[in-house]
Amino acid sequence: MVVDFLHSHKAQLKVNRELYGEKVIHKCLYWWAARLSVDFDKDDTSFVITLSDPTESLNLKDVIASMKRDLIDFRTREIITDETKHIRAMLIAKAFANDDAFDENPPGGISDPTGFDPVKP
Amino acid sequence: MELPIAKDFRKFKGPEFYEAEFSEYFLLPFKFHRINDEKEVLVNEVGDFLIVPIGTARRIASRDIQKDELLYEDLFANSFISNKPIPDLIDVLATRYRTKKSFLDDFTALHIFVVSLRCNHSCHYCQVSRVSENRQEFDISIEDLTSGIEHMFRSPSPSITMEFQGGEPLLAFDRVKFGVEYALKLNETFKKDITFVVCTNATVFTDEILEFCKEHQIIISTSLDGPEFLHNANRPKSGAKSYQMVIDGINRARNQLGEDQVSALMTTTSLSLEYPIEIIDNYIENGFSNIFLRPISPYGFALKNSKKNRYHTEKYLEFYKKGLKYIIELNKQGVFFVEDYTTIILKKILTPFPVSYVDLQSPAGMINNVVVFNYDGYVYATDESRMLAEQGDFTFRLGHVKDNYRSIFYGEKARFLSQYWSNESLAGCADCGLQSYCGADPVFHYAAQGDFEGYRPTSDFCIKNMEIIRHIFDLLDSDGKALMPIFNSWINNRPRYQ
Repeated sequence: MVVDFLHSHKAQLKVNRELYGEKVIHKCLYWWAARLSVDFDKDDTSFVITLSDPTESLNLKDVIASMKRDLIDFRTREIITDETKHIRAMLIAKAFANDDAFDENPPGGISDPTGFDPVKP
Repeated sequence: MELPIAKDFRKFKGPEFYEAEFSEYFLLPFKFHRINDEKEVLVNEVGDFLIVPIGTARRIASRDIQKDELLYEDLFANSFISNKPIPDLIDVLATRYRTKKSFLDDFTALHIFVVSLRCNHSCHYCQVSRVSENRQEFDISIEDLTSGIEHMFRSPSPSITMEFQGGEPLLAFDRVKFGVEYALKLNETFKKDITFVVCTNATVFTDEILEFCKEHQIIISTSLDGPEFLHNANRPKSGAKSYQMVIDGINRARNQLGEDQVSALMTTTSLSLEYPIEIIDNYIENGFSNIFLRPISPYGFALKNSKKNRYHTEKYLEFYKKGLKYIIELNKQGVFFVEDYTTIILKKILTPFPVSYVDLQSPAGMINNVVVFNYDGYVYATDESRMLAEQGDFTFRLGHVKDNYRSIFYGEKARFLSQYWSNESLAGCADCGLQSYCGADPVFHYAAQGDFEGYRPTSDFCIKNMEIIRHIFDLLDSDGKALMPIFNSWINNRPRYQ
């Protein structure tokens, strides 16, 4: 993230579009929009974010530092969500299946040293 | 590097197991949330957690965790990562997920009957409407009560709770009596497990009422706001001081019904915020072993008297934390005393089971677990929904008791509301690391923000729950060894040394 300008109550940031997706930016700004006025645009290489503090009560330098951290967190969340969406769908389908159609036997066998047959019905 | 909190169950496999031929691990679904300046909590899809240094989630996603790190074993054992694209124990995880959501299995359990709007108190925070004691036209009709009870028995749930509310329901004791007797008569056929609860201000008990409650094992839930000066200020009653009447009523009910048949709830007003310790001490003096440090809800008279009832959630959180700290200290000194809201969240964090608390569920408790039959025969999605109705807003009205069960419980209104009742699909909640322990509350957000979905950054529901859950994790991180026996005693509702 590059800070284009930083005045006491207004700032403009540029975020590299190769590093962060639009969804990540939106999710990050969602949490800041309650306290800041946020404008969001994009050019060929970057997302352009303009922040202004209508209450003039925030330290925008601190806000930008937190926002950088949030961007990394939301990018991490996006990686995890994308990589695990199929296993999550499978997990929920198995959880709510009305029969045993999605059940699989775990690998390996089970036995009991006392001679009791644990798999015998 | 700093280790996460050790889990007792990290002992399944020897080191050779982790030296399989794969070079990388596979991610399993999990979320994370910062709990203080140094730690974040990782929470997987079934609510298991690990408290780890900040940046760990990023390291996991970047495949930066080495197999020789103890963290690797913790992540593996707790199903945050897997050595296969589909883990061997996926069916176990699926069973655990189903268990967490098993509160949905039996559908509506809690059936609230508002038998009368009449009340002998004029509490400024009253979240419902009330009318004076002599206006019997505000009692539910026997016909509507009968229809409501018949709907209750149509619920597939084998266990049902019939809760009588008001106003003051015991001012319409004939309705309570009829309701219990008719439910018991129907139950000769349906054979459900029924619990009866009366929510009363405990000031109108008679021998007849208490004898009936004893005969039918009716649980008494009353209101006690703390010390006399505070309770009387919050709950004015014309011609008498409410506090002494409530204490007399509580004692009388305990003597007749048994200690465990009487519980109390407090409501936090602006005045209460200054007295968390005094309120807790008052509960202990009056023989209670638990308290629910409950904030005010944004409904009914609570909104009209904003000076006494409107406060910033931050103020409530200070009150809650101060109270919780005091309660924990009492427990450390050997006094068994439970804070109920913390216990609800602890059960969600530390046990594999769901918690039957309708305000903190996803899908939300509305309809799925609770429904309200109002005095005028209309049916509402939650207790709070009928509070809105008393303000003239019928958004959450599901129908009338005379309508058929399907149209009330599965009708167009219910289907519409279902769009907003899962936090898994709400903006701001979908990515939240604390999602597993929280819930969705479309009625609250509609009432407070005019939006069923709600805007999380300014939502008092979100600010409150996120901070309380974060605070509990912070406590587990900073003082876990000392606190776990106490928290376990709260979850089990049993003193530590018994």
